Amino acid sequence: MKIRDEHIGLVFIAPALFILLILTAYPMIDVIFLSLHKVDVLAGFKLIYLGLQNYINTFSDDLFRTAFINTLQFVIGATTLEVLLGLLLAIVFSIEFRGKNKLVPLIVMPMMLPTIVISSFWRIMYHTEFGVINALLKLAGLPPVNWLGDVHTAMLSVIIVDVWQYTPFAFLVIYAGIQSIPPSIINAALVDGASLPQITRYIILPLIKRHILVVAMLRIIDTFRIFDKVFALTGGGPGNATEVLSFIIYKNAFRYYEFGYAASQAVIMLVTVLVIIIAYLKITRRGE
Amino acid sequence: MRTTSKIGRILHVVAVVLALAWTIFPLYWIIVTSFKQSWEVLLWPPTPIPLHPTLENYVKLLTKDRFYIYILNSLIVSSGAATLSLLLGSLAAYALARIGLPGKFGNIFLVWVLVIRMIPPITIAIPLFTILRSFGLLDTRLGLIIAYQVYTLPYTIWLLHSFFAAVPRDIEWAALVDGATRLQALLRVILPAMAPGLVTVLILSMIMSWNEFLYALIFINSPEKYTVTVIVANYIQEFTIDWGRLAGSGMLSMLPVLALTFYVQKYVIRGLAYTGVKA
Repeated sequence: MKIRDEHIGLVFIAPALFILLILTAYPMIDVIFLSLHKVDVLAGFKLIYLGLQNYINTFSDDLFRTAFINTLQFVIGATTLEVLLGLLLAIVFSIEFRGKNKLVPLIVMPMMLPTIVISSFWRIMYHTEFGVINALLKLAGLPPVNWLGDVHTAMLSVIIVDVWQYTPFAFLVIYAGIQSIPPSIINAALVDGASLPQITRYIILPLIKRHILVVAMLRIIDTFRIFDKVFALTGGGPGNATEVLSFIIYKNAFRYYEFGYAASQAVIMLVTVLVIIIAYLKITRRGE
Repeated sequence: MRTTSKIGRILHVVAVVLALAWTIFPLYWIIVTSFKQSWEVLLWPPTPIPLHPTLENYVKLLTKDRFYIYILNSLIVSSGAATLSLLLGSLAAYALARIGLPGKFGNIFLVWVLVIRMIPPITIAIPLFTILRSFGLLDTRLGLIIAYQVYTLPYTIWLLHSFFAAVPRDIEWAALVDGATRLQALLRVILPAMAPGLVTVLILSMIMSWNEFLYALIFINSPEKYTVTVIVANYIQEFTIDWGRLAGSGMLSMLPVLALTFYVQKYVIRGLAYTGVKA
């Protein structure tokens, strides 16, 4: 039998496929299996079948509901701000000025840095008593704010850090969209006497709708996993004001060793995000 | 595009300056804080420039706290994870981009790779924990290197897939006609032709692993095996936080990333192709 190229291809892809099956496909099935059990960590991870009991408990768990709502708040708040600011920044950078190309890497830098580290930076700046943010507020004649310690501002404070870190991502994608518009279209409008706001509204925005949609969905998917920022900034507090899904699943599994219970919450989170991912794939793969 | 009106030009300059200030200020503030003595960090109003600049925080980190241990751990884990991904990923990406796979297998695989990039890491953390445990890989740097394949392998495959597609087919055909096997063509002709791309992918994977926190927190227990993100998180958790030391540890943790970022900056946008959208 002649060896066909396709079979050589399978041999080449086999090692990566094997690793990814063990590390991603199997866990996605195993987490469902675990969610139907109580895992006795002390007795060598012995499994006791519970049926849907973990799910029943999760659905009546106030902390889970709070974490779910808080996660949605974070997702919607951060995504909205990042896309709007990213769009604004992309338009600002689409106007020619000297040194522009040197500034883009600088603007992009926050998204390359470790989230835990930049969260610790913001934690220092947010400090109520000696933090620089309250000092700047005072200069502006405003009263100090207990950023991370007040139930009303804690989530906002976490969102601001995410906006600082990931607006550059929205900026990059939308900027690439604007760059792909043929300059002749914009020049023609300029010759016809169109103003910059008019060009933005009637030429740029309609042409980059898809980029905006794509980046918004990606931010929704990525913000859903929020963990590092909550861990470093608030630890879920004050009260439960910044408890989010990843954080309570982490605590249930690795602080309280309720593996089965945490698994049921992980499954609910996974299914929620998978629905968004499928919608995203449908949108981006359309017409291919 | 160009602005035409005078007001437009002024607004534009203001917007650029604001964007820069917003981006740079936190970094400036941490650099300043890391050079302050502990009493000065607690001063109100805070001082924009250290009154008595000191290396105290850095000296303490590098002697008493032995911070270099965590840097070394992060270096081992991130370079290990990136290298393993590059080995497995270049074979897989070559198969996907050039050799071909039966039926729709290649397409399904690429979509799967994209899905993995998007699922929240905590959702598969519990099974991963039990897998590492059954192989005796919990609390080992090797275990973390393997766990990081969840992040770096899909990323490597996706990026390399687009790089392979950009290498001219002619040089590959020439090698194959001369009797080289597929593996020889890959190792001797194609990979050398895309060496800069390989280095870029390696560095981007390293940064990704260097920055990772959740799996390092869960899978590593012994303090002497902590990565930099875990030790920085530990400094934040302390009952009385040493703010100057925290700032210094953050600086030390992000300097390697900054240095590497300058090398790959022009590829960052290309790295975004991992959104699944054709650029």
